[in-house]
Amino acid sequence: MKSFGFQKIVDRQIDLDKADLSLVQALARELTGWQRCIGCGSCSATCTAAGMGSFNPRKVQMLVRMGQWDQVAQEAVHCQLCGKCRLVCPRDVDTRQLMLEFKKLQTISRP
Amino acid sequence: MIAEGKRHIWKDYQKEIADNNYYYARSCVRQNFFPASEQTFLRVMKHELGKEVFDDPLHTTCTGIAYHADVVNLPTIMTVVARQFALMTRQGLSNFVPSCITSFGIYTEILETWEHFPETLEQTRDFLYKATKREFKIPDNLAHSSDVIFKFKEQIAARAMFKLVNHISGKPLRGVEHIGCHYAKMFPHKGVGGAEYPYVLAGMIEAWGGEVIDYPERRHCCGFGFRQYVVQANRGYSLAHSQKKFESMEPYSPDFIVTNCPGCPFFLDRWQYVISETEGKTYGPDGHGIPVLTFEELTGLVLGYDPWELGLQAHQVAVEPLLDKMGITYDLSRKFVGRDGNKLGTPDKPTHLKVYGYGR
Amino acid sequence: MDGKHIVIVGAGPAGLAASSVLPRLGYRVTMIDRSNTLGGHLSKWYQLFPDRAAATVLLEQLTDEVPDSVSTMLGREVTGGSVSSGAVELTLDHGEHLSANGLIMATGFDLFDARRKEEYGYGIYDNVFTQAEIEEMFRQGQIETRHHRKPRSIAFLHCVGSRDLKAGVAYCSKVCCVTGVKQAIELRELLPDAAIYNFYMDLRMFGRGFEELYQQAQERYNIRFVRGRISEAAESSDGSVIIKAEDTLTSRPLKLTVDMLVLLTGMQPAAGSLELAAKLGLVLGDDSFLKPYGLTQQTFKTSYPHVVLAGSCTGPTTLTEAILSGRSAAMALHESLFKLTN
Repeated sequence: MKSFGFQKIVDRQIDLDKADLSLVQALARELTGWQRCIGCGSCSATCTAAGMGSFNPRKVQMLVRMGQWDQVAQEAVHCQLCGKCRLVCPRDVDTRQLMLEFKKLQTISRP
Repeated sequence: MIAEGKRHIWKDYQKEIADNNYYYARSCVRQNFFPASEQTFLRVMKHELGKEVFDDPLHTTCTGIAYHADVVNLPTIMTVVARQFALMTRQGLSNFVPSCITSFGIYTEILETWEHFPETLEQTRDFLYKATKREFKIPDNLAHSSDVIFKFKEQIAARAMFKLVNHISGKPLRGVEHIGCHYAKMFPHKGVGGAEYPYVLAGMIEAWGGEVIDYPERRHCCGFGFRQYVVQANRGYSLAHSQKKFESMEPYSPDFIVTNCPGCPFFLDRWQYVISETEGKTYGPDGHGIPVLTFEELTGLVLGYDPWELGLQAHQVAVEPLLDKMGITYDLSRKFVGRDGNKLGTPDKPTHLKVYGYGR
Repeated sequence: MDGKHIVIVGAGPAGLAASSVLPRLGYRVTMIDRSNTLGGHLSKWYQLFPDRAAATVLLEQLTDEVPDSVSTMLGREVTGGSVSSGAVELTLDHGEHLSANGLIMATGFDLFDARRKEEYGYGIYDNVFTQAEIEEMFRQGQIETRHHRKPRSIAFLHCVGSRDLKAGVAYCSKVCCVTGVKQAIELRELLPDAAIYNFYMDLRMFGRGFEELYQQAQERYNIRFVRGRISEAAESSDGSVIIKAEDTLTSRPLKLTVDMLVLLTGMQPAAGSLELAAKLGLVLGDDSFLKPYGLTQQTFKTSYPHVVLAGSCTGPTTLTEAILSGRSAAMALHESLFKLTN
């Protein structure tokens, strides 16, 4: 490959036209309630796994809606399933269960 | 801090704890970490309180660690849990008492799941029968072993040989209580005192004469987090979490930390050693650490059991300063002698952390 | 309408507004309140959003409008009652009996009990307050911590007991957003050097002058806004409060130590309102507030033509709305009684 001394920058734009939203629909069939999230960040603030790394349960929920499954898959594995997110959520979202569902959907849909 | 405010909340989180006839489910790791704790629970229950506890050699791990590390799936762990219940049922018992907090969380969660999704209960019954020909009843009462000790804390106080009081100054000893995450964070109403201000260990400290420290990072996890520790490369996370707690509790000069989980005392104890070796930092006075005890060890000390029979020599942070404060006498020359009289060997002496009875 | 008797339960802004209208239309009016003072929550407030008008002045205006002919019964409770065609019968706490031709429910709201959000430690940590306590401090002209120190840092937390399904409160309490901004500005005037924060999920500046107040808070008063809901509070050894939130806009968990944490508690139906509604057979909505006939039209009407609803007993309202609805409810009742008679 010919080197020009630079690399093409990866476009960071979320392309909702091309995003894979099929898993969002699959998720909606498995679990309800997560649609209520208003992104207040209570879960991320209280999360044990957040803070020491990039894990951010609020952001994972947002990435799902945007169809960013690769990132969701990378992030969800950091959850420790302690359930504190669920305890503090004002919208009664079972974020812990959501993380479990992500993993399930990932394994079903992405062999 | 307004003590009355906490009592107001505790009123809302009373739980039913069976009075007698328990099926005891041991932890898969505690006997290695804190070798005498479970034995001490049985000793206290049977010999101090005169209760019937069945200690079953047939039960297995609940597979909670594997579940949390993604190795075992939900139907499998449900079937394993069902097998434990089948063993309990076989003994004609119905009060299930796990030793481990994660197990307690697993049992609680599974019982809730079965209640809300009866088809999963039927499926589990089916799996268990196909695999083992066993059948089971759902326990009438599920309580963690620390709940049981909590229930009898006053009776234990009445039999106490030593109080959580400085025997020279007469002042209460100050204790940090650390509750394992899986005790009440998932199901606050299943824990004594709830999830925000758990009372299960605080109640023991108070009943036995001590004073409870409420410090800013009290609610924070010890850092075990399963895959944070199970994968060696991730252990830095675990260490950082424990340190967050030590830094937060240090200004309160705690005399001890008491825990009710298998993992928490292990990490709160060991990481103090690791921090002392890597950063030269210790959290107690004069190079000492903060002694970390399981609730059974604390119960044993209060009841006057020999510290070495309680397995306190297996701790990395020296407990002798606490024993001295409580006025407990001990024989350092017997610290590393096993119950069979053979020498256990002596650990290497840490660089900074002050210890007693070590060689070299 | 001469001689017809109307009872107004509640002497807050809505009740006062209604009682100023009805005597002039020829009704005999009795106004009852549990409290010993007129004005409801208004009597406990210092300044009002968005223009910082003095609460005492508004209260005076409202009470001055009430004709002397209104019989006011303070410190009294309605303990029983029934509604029949064309009549309302009420029993009061001393066994007294009132017969009326019409009833206005102006039973108002209670502030959410902040102790129910255990993670914030209200009633446990020394320096966790509610906006009502801050308002009282403004009235006293002195802001200080529980240890009688001048605070160097204060954080407001929005939506405590609002938009919180865990607390059984799905609705927005509407006035807390702008109250937090108003109180932050008032604090700034008293404490020029303090760090003042607002932690919020959304800021709903819907009313006239609200958004402008928010802008002033940012620009002129140096109030710091953090878009993240506080997940827990803890007390440090010096009695200050350590809070945790996520700064959702930088996606990072955040920790902050403040001398005072102020919880902006939401509105819930007044306990007295619920008791009376049960006795009279009035219908409640899913939010437990009294349910009017419609949410757009006929917002004062109940299933009884001679019983109407006014003010915050039907859900969170601003003072402006409470006063307007008090007057409108009075007119709606008048129309209804007129139709019944003619």
